Amino acid sequence: MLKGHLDAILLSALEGGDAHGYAIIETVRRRSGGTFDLSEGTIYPALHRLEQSGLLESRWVTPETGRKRRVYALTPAGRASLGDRRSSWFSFSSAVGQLLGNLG
Amino acid sequence: MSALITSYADALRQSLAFDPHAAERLAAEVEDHLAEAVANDTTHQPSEAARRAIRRFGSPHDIAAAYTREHFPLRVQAALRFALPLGGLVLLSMWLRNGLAALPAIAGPETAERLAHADDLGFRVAIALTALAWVVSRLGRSGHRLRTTVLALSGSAVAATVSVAAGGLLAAASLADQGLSATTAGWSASALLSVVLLGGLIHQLRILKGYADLSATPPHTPTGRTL
Repeated sequence: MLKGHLDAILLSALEGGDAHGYAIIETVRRRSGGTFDLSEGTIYPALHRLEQSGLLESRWVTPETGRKRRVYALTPAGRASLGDRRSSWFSFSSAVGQLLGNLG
Repeated sequence: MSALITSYADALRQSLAFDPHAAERLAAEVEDHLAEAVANDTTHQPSEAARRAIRRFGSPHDIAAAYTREHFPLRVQAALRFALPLGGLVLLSMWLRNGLAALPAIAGPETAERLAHADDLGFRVAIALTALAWVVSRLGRSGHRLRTTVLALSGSAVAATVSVAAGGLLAAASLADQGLSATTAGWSASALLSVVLLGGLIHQLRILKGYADLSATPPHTPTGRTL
C-alpha cells in the first residue's frame, strides 16, 4: 500500500524547500519518526520520473564541500499535485478510520 | 571518493549503457549519495562505511532495472514525440515531391512506378504503425501494451526501411540521369528526410529495447523493505 504513496511522500518531503536525494530520505525518516526508512536505491528512479512528469525540477549545485549534487524542487504542478494527493489521502484515511472505529 | 563507490557507480553506468545520458546522471547522483552516507557515518571506518552504504542501496543491476521500469512509459512517449512530427514532415515532402517532380527514369517506366509505389506505401505503413503505437501507448502503461507499442514501432522501422531503399534508388537514378535538377532535388530531399527519420527511429528503438529487456529481469538482491 505504501508503495502507491511513494510519489506523495517524496513531494511532501520537498514542500519545506529544495533538497537532494540524501536529504529527502533523511527528511522522510525524520518526519515519519523512523517509520518510513525508504530504500535508498528506489528514490532516484522515482525522483527522475517525477521530474520528467513535470512535478519536480532539478539543478546541479556545488556546495562548499565541493561535491556537486543534484537538488530537487517542487514545480507549481508538483505543488498542486501534492495538494490533490493530500486531500485524497485525508478523505481515504478518515473513511477507513471511521469504518475501523465502528467495527471496533 | 572511495574506490568501492567509484566501482559501484561504474557498474551502474554499465547496466544502463544503452541510455548514456540517463546512466551518467543517475550514477553521478548515486555517487554523491554514497559519498555523503560515508561522510555522515561516524561509527565506521570509511571503507566499511562505504560497504554498508552500498549494501543498503542494493545491486547496480536492481537500481538500473528499477529505473527502466519507472521510465519505460516515458521513453515510449519520447520516441513517439520524435517519430510522429518528423513522419508528418516526410509525408508532406513526399506529397510536394509527387506534385512537383517528375518520376526519374530507371530501368523502364514500370520499375520506376513500382519503386515510387513502394516508397509511398512503405512510408504510409510506417506512419500508420507509428500512429497505432501512439494509440496503444495511450490506452495504458501495462507491460503488454508497452511491448505492443515497441513492436508496432519496430514494424514502422521495417516499413520505413523499404521506403528509404526505394526512394533512395529513385533519387540516385535521377542524379545519374539528369544531374542536379528539380526532379533530383525533390527525390533527394524526401529520401534524406526519410533517412533522418529512420536513423532516429532505430536509435530510439535500440534504447527502448534496452529498457524493455532490463525492466523484465528479476532482482539480483531480494529485499524485504516496504518501499
